[in-house]
Amino acid sequence: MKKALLPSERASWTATLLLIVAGVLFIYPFVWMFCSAFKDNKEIFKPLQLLPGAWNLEYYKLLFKGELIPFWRVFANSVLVAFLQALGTVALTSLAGYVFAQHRFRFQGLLFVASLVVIVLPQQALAIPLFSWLNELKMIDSIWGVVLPGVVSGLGILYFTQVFRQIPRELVEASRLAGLSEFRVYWTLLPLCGSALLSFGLIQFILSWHEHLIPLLVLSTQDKQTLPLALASLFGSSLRFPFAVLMAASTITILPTAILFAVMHRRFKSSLSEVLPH
Amino acid sequence: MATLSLHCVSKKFRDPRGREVRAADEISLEVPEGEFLVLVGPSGCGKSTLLRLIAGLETLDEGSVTIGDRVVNNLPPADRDVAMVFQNYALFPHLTVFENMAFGLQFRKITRRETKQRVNAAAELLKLEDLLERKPGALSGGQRQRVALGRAIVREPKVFLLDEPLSNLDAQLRAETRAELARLHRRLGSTMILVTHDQTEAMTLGQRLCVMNGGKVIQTGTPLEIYQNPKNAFVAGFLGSPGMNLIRGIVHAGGRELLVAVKGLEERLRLDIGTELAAKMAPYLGKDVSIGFRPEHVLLGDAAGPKESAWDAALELCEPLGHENLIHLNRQGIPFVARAPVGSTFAPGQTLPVRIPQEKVMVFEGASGELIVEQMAGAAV
Ligand SMILES: Nc1ncnc2c1ncn2[C@@H]1O[C@H](COP(=O)(O)OP(=O)(O)O)[C@@H](O)[C@H]1O
Ligand SMILES: [Mg+2]
Repeated sequence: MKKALLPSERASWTATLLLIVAGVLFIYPFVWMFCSAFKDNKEIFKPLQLLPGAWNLEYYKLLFKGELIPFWRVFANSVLVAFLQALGTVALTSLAGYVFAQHRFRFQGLLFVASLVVIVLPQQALAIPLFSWLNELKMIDSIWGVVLPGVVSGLGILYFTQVFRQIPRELVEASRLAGLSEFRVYWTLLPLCGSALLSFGLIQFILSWHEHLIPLLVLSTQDKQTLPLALASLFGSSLRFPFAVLMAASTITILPTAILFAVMHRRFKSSLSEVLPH
Repeated sequence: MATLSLHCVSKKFRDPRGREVRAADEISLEVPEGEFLVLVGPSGCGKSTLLRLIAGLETLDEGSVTIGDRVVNNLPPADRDVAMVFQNYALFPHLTVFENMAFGLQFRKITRRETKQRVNAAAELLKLEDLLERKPGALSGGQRQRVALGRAIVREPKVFLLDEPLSNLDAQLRAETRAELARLHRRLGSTMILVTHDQTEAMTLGQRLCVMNGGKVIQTGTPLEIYQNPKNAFVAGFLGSPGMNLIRGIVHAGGRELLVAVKGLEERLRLDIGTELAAKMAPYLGKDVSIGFRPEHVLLGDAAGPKESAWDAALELCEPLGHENLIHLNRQGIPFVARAPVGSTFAPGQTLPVRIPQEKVMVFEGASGELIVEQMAGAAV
């Protein structure tokens, strides 16, 4: 006799099936990209062929030789920019979050809203004023011109305000009674938000890693470019250019963020509540 | 150690709906050096706010706070030389017990050696020696509470402020810690202010008691003074567990024999108050009053004496507490409580003769709750 499925079981089967379909749809372009790094141009433009005729490493070698673009140099630039930006954003927004969460001051509500407006404002709208500012500050074609604008994050302020709101007011007050300066209070509380800091830092790293607009505005010398810019310049060169090189470069580009995401996935689960005694 | 004095201290808050809440309303209070003062009052009456005003964690709207001979109104919390123990202990979960206790010293000009000495001394006093390397997460509630106390002790402050330090402990631990706190105060001899909403703590701990309600100080005095001579109906009902029985009624006839008409009760409550008090009661004819008497003064059954001076009341519930029984009675819809020794054989549903000795009765004004007729302590039963 066959056992009938319970409604909840049927629902979970349906969900699994849908997720498999969605997963395949999402992953297909990546698989295609990975495979295409081994194909010549003729193969790449055959729409139904996924696997390459041969696993040919020649295009990777071509990329790494650095004749088309200074690949490792650009890769290092990207790492540096993303790292500095993640660090800077976390430092700045967690400090702001602490102040918004644990202080009362004049125009607090207004300032909070103002810092949130940054979230909804499209970057493109800020591009021109930003460029002229950076020009004034002599930061055009410098890594700082890319790092600093990205450090201001409305989302970060919102996030860390919420995080610091969860810290009992009494911990802050006990610190003040003990004679800590406001900065020391913040510094003392920071370990309590360890996983929040790490999660947000990783998100910021990934965002910065893929950032295209601001580097495009700011960086002109090829040696100073970041990965997305360099990849874009590869694409534009000519039609006879082997596209497999572009695919190889793209594959390597997504690798660091994919690894970071795998790491972060676990960190997301641990939260503030673990640290605080009940 | 120093005298703490508050002069006309006020603090207002706005609740979420924008209404004004007077958390401290012109509070004036003097705490002499070395005194253990207990602040007691129902939740939300402004006890924590008062402590936080003394500590400097809230800014005063009006008035002044003096510690020793310094007005500290404008000093930051750290410079006021007070230590506070919070209700939730406020220990840093990522620091060890030692680090938590040393926390109050780290940012002052105190050498490492001295810090170590003081922490070890406090740990010994509080029996925490074996736990110094642990994190707060690995401690029981009572241990955490002692660490929080330790953090305050090592500071050697002029004034200790303790905000409901026992309220998160279970009953047995609370009783133990209560005794420990009293011992600690004797040992350190410092000025201490303890906040509680528990009247057992209030009665047993303090040398002096300060009863608060609605942001105001209602009455201060030794616990016994306040228990025996509450200033108004609120204090009478609040102190003691259970508190004083209060029955609302209207003064029906004055004179030597006071008659009070109680809604729902057919006959009048009859109180023999004597000529002196009768004169005092004269202006209240036709006015609202509360008749108050303590549960321990209610005489039940045979003890109630001759039939004519007793009432009949229905026994609704008998709560055995082990050392005594609480008897919940009801006379024609008017509930009151009595204490009875263990071994009394009262059963629910039974009707009992009840007598309240007249010299134990207090009369409070209905609207304001102010005391009109004091208990005639010492009068013959
Ligand atoms: N920061 C605050 N903002 C607004 N209202 C407050 C604040 N702190 C306390 N209150 C109000 O003040 C009153 C007294 O509070 P509190 O001192 O905490 O009472 P207690 O400690 O006696 O329970 C309460 O009505 C409370 O809601
Ligand atoms: Mg409180």
